[in-house]
Amino acid sequence: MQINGIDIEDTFAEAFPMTATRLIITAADRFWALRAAESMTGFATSVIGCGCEAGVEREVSPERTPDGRPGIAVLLFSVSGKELEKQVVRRVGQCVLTCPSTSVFAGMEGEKKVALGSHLRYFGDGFQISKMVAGKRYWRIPVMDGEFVAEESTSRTSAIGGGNFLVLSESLDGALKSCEAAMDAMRQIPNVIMPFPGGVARSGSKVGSKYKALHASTNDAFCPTLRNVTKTLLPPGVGAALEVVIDGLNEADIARAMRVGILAACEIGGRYGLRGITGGNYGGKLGQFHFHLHEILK
Amino acid sequence: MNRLTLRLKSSVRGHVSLRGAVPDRWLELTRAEMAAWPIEVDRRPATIEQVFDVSDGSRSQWRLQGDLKQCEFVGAGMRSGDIVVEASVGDYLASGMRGGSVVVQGDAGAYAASSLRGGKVIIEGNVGPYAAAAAPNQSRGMADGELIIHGNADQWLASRMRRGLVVVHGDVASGCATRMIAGTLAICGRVAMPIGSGMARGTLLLLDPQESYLNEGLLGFTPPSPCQLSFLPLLLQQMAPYLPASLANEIGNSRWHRCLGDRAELGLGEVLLRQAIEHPQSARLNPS
Repeated sequence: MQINGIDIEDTFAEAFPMTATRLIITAADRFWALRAAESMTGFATSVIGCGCEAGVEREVSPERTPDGRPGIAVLLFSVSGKELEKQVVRRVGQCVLTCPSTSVFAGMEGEKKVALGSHLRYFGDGFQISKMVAGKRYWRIPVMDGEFVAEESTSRTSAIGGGNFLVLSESLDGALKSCEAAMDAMRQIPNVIMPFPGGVARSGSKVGSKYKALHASTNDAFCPTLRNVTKTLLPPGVGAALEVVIDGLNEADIARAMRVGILAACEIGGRYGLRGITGGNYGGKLGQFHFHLHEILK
Repeated sequence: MNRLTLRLKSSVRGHVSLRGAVPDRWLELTRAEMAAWPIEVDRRPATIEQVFDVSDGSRSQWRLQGDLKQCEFVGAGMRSGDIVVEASVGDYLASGMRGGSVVVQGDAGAYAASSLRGGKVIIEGNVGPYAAAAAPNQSRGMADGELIIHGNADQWLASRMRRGLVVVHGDVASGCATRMIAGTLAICGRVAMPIGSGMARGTLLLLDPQESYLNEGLLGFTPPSPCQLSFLPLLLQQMAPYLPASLANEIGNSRWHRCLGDRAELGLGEVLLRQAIEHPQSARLNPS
């Protein structure tokens, strides 16, 4: 298959099951809401080393936030409900509670709960106030700029992490241009985040390592500098590969994000030396979800 | 389907207790079973048909008519359904109610919505003492639900209130929020002292407070201090549908002053005193 002359490899991208939650962070204005969201989703690129994967999903207009203020929706993904709760409480406590004027609310409804205000309330040292509004409990924690409002809990849902595609280009500049185009398009898709810096990982990994302590190591098959010393998967002429990684709430959302991302990359990529698109295929060892590129792009 | 209508017979004298006669317990009854439903008149056994003229209709939707001031426990303990009372009603209206709705197109007596557990009660007239308070033999007042009073409220409103929302459009007599434990009480009119004696927690919003309260504070409470509370927009959005239209439109443009108390008992109940802004810059409440 080719799109605009760019080869699309007949392979699939592997992804694995995760659990996810959405939070709505509001603040006095967009600036502070975004600062809090960026802070709490920082150092959350991979569950391997960060405990969770997180990112800004979208901005939420004041008409759609619980308190009528500008808001940011963030998604957090982790491997278990327990780890997710630990990360939510830690990150909201350190990054949202501390940010001037912010409040935090549940961004999804469901039966499986993740503690939010119910844990953070203890910061109030006994001065915290619980209020029920329309059947939901909120905690009001006195802070130096007034009060921090946190909903009692949020909910979590089963989700998918690690959806991906690889951009194979003649040069790093060309690969970056293609990825930037893909990210611009993918950021419009709801229910997904791209947790790596700018949505892109240059240190794609393979499962396992020669060192027993490591579960993952550099994906040598896509490293151009190892072309002659390892079993390379890079087509001739490719000088740089970048991986776009997608976490989403369901398969359809990830597939949709992959589709618009690949199409956007291919639309401009030819001008910048884009040679091909492939998927992170680990022979079925990584995860149960397989996103076949040709099917997605039909 | 039409509402089931109960019209109190004019010949009936004495206090009629409708305890236990609620829509959710009548859902499966035949007309004969309804007529024979046991109630009390002056604590003596009677049946519905001896006291009321019954026009059949939806079991879950009732209409009560007649001179109902002598009628007690209307909607008490109700779990679902709705009742419209087309007159003033006696004591214990919706006492211990857990769900459904009651609308009274007149006044209500003492202990209205006392120990309310859920549902919505709207009283279009005035209400007697101990509304939303603890019912006799109960240690706690209203524990959930909503009570909306379009008129004035008598003494001891919301005393020992535990949870829920009470909105009063008119004035309130002394003793409101006494020993209040939690919940929200909003008063659109004037309020007589004392207020919030022994208040432990909860929120009392005075939407048109006397100037002296703003200047001199409330007995037992910390002095009023200006505040910007992130939680207020949420709370005001919940209340907005129940406020008089003129107030609902302007409440987003207000300054708020906050007192905490009753400090005599180390309480942390909050009283929020509203101060209208004469020339508002922008409205922020309820942008939807």
